[in-house]
Amino acid sequence: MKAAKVILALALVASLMFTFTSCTCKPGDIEEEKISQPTTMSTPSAISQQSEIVKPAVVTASVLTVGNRTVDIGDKIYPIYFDFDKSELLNDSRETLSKLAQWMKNNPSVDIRIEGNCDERGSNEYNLALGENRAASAKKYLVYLSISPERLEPMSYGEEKPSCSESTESCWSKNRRDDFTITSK
Amino acid sequence: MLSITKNIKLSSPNTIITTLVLVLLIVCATTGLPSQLEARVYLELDSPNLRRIPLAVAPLQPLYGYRENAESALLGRKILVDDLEFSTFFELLDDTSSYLEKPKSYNLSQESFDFRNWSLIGAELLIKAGYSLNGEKLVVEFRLYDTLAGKMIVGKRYRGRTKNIRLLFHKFANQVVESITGLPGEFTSKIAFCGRHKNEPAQELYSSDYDGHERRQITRNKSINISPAWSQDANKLVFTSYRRDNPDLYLIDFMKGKEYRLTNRKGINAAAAWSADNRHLTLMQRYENHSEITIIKAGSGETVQRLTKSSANQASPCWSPDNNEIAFVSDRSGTPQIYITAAQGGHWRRLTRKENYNANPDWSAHNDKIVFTSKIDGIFQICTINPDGTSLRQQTYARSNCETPCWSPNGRHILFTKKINGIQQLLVMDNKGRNLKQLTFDKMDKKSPNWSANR
Repeated sequence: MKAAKVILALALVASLMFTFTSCTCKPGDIEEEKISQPTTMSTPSAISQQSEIVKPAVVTASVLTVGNRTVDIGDKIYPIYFDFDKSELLNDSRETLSKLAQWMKNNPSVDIRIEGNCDERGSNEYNLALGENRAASAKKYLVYLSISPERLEPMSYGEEKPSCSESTESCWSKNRRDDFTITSK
Repeated sequence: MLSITKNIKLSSPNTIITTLVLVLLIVCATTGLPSQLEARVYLELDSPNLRRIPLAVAPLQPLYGYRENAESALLGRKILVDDLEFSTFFELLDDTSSYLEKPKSYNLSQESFDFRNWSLIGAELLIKAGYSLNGEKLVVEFRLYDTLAGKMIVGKRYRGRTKNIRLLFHKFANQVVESITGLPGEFTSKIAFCGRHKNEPAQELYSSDYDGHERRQITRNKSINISPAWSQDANKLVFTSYRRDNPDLYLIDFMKGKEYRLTNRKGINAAAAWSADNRHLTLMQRYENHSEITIIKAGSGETVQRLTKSSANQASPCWSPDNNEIAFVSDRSGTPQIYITAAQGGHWRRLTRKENYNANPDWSAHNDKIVFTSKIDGIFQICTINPDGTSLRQQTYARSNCETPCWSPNGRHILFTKKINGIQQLLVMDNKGRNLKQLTFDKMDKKSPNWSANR
């Protein structure tokens, strides 16, 4: 009888241990206890040590972009622009890309990152996909102009890197663009 | 004295063990007793005319032998009242108790007051709470009473520190909602979101309580950080960061206080969502120069499967609550629409047909509905739909874009962003599109909120 009680108590403790191991690990613990009615107003006997809810990760600083380096190729490498919700190249863009291709042929050690951007309208995540398309369009055309695909790295910023932050068409049209960044020289 | 500090501190292992032992002792002492009242559901949640139950919260009393601390008492009561009001289950009665009872009776037990005093003013439920404050140590004892039946529904005592007073009262608010509705409360959940100050290139991640309080900055990498998503247990967060010149997927493990890079496949690794069992993530990744939906292992980042094969763009995947299906956006029809596919791949079907821009689906585990944003008459509005395409319902009728909706952990609320006075703010409403509440008011633009389970 006595042994049975001991076993019962041990089982109880073990099961509780299991329960509380999982919940005591939770951050920001508040110790909780069930009260049955009636109860005496006892003074607090146990004080739990509090931890914080969110521990920010230690993140080492890194620069946001490689730099807004534009290269003098007679003209500068300006961004190329797109129509709303489109990733097809405009005629102006083909001209810019031809100059870029010529300059890349003259500077064979240079690699370029093509950064596709969108205006703020529409879903952020769908715009990430659209930015991929815009970067891919420029890459495809440069490859067509005999630039090695290994030298071209497309990347999408979606609507996360606006060059203009007003909610106007003139601003949106500046944000629907591919930027070109030199990644190695 | 109340002080809410912002410093981050984790308990030392020793303290955890000490606490564990103490908790064990307390619980061992009380577990043998039978529960005072069997669980009883007070509300029929599916009823179309769900009525709010009149509930009174008595002013907090200091526990016997302790001095009054009006500041903590008022703050604590306000947290509790705000939570319960927010839940949409209760009608909070005005504080009329001052003339109902002798003040400072130092006793919460039901022998110490007359239920009729409360039922007469219409309260069907009553919360009494007492506290003791000793330096930073705060103990609060709560009782929830059914005034008509004249008995206690649940009683709890919480011990913590004054800096965690919000968490402590949120915990009991959860208990009240759970006791009355059978649903978990939402009050110890967290919101993660992206924040950017005007004209700043960097976009960092932040978290806050569900009510917008206790905001913390999560990332400090001065890069662009997007699409945060809590694991189901809210102990981990995945997000996409450009800090190494490619949109890679990162994971923060809050229990270990560590951050890992999960995938660095060239191109986007974004919009990740957790499976119900926390073992997998579905996300957008680049295949053949465009975005497709894939599944990777949450532990290693290893690719399990490419889910979609299309020349069109895919975006914003999320799992069904049973893990069997994945909803996502695709423009394979020419415009962005929401589709559902089997989680093993194949067997896809188109979910949305009205309007020509539907995006950002989120699938609730509790009411099996999908919330999304739909461009209606030129403005993005929040809508809900059943996974079989029925019961399409427009939830907002706003004049500026409402975007990136997500469900609260129990499916009773929807969180989303809206531009107000030129700033993207976080707003929350109930699942019927009512009880709209603005959560943030500061000048930082906020994007892509994600709502965790209770912690």
